[in-house]
Amino acid sequence: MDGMTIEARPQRVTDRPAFIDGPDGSLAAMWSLPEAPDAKTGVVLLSAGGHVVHSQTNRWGYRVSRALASEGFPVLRFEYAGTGDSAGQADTFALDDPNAGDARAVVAVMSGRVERILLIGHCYGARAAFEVAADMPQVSGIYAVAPPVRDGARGEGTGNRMAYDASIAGYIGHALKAVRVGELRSREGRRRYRRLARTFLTARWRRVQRHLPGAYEDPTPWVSGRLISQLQALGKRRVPVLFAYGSADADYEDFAKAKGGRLGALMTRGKTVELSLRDGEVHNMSRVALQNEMIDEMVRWVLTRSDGRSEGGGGT
Amino acid sequence: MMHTDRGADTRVQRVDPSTGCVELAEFIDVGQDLVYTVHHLPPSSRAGHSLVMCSPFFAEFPRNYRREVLVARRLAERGVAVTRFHHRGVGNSTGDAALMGLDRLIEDARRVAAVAAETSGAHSLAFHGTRLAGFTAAAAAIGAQMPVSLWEPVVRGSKYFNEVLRTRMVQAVHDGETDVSAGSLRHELTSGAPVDVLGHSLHPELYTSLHDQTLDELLGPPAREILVVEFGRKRKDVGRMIERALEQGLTATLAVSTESESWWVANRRADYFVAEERRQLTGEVVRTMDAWFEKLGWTA
Repeated sequence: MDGMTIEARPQRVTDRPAFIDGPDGSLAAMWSLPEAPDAKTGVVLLSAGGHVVHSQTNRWGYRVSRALASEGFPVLRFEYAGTGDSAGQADTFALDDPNAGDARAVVAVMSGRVERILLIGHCYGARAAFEVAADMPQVSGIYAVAPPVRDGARGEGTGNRMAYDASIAGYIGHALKAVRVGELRSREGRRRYRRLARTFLTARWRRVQRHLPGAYEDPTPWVSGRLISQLQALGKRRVPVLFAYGSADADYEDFAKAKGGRLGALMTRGKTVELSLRDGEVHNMSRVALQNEMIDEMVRWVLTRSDGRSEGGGGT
Repeated sequence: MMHTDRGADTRVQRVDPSTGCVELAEFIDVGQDLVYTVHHLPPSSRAGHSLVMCSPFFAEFPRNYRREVLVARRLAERGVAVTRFHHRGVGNSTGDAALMGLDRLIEDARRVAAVAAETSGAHSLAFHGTRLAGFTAAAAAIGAQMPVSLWEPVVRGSKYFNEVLRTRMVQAVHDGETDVSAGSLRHELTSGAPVDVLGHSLHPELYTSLHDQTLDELLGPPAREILVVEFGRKRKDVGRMIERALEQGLTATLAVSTESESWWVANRRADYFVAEERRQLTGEVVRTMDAWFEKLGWTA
């Protein structure tokens, strides 16, 4: 169950540890290198935020890295500043500020070896991938595992959803119920409440805007504007993006609703954004069989993209 | 900020300019496999003492990871070399997790300890283990008077695996599976099949080799110093284990932190909002380890 999910590969793989200089200190990283690397395409893995090491749950990061390397692709995975073996101190893992500096530093190192780079990002790591891809032309594709389409920091999902969906009284009731004196005493607790309040006020302001004469009525105002801009930029460059979700993922529920707005328009227009949907929950990678399926799909997706084809494959 | 210093391809190191400590990452050979190892070396060229840290498994591995890194950095700053590693079949190391049993865990730890002593030049060695890895640390240190530190140690293998299987049953209830029971899971394991617990493979070899083990039997004699750090509360079975250790001539120090840890699932809403490494808890653990090594005379 824990071994390779892909059949025997032609290339022997060597893993090599690396330290990469990031904006907030040295980042711990790991190369998975084939004997005769593909000089054109490399892959960078971007982890989810929080308690994550780059080998990932049940080593799915390790396994996919070696599976891809055995197909001839150099692969690099790393730990954000303040996590794992990296230097620095972690902050809130905010989706609208997803450690893009760290990701850029790592992608830049890969750029020294190959012509084009495919990114595989998980949750917060997928949002980092979009940030990086928007201004690094060497990125030629993104496989995004359960990316949140809303902004916010870890653990703020419920509050952010309520800011748009609940009544003012309901929202305030929730906030007061959730308030703990201890939390408000800490700097991080106060920062969190400030962020939630900002989201709430933004949501209310967007409601007001909808009633202004000539205003565009966006049915999904809660979708990250930053994410939409990034996807637009990637669409113009014909960079393929695959969104991989499980039907039980809370983020898929958001994604499905978001298709009714600007995100849906982007998917229809450019045909560069695809969806891969499977039963159950993908976000937490909480089934070994699911991890194996995902690894297989990632390898197929990279193989397709490395052939220079810009569409098709992977999505359902 | 640390700066990168690229050494040979298979071995890289960096130096923290604020402390002068060196972090050296490498793969070391153990049998046919390669074990990922990170040495935290004090600024002086040779350390007198070295600690080998054995990490916990499954969901507990990433949960404790950063805490181990921060403790290792602090101890290196204080003059104790620390070596951390990933067992074969775990994390970045090669190897088949299905073959991971107590004998292989001990073999990994002892091989790493030999490399740690050679790398740091240390003349005395201690082991550390968190949760189930307390068994590894205790067993690897047996036969010598090496100090052992333990965080939230598992006292009986059977109890630990009951908790793990209970987690699997909770997952089954959540997912609407009706054919999962403690009996069926044990049957799977004893008939040679792995059990998937929240995306982690629990293999029969680990289960059968550790199920009937107890920590106090692995700890001693001979007489040695042990440190037990409990997170948030002192468990009764840990108290009894310490009593038995004292009866066997061991010297035990117990510390209880103010914060607890939820090892498998985030059971408190607040878990999401604290920094990744649980700074308060980690700070307490760092200070406790620091004080213990000072008591041993290993740090100034």
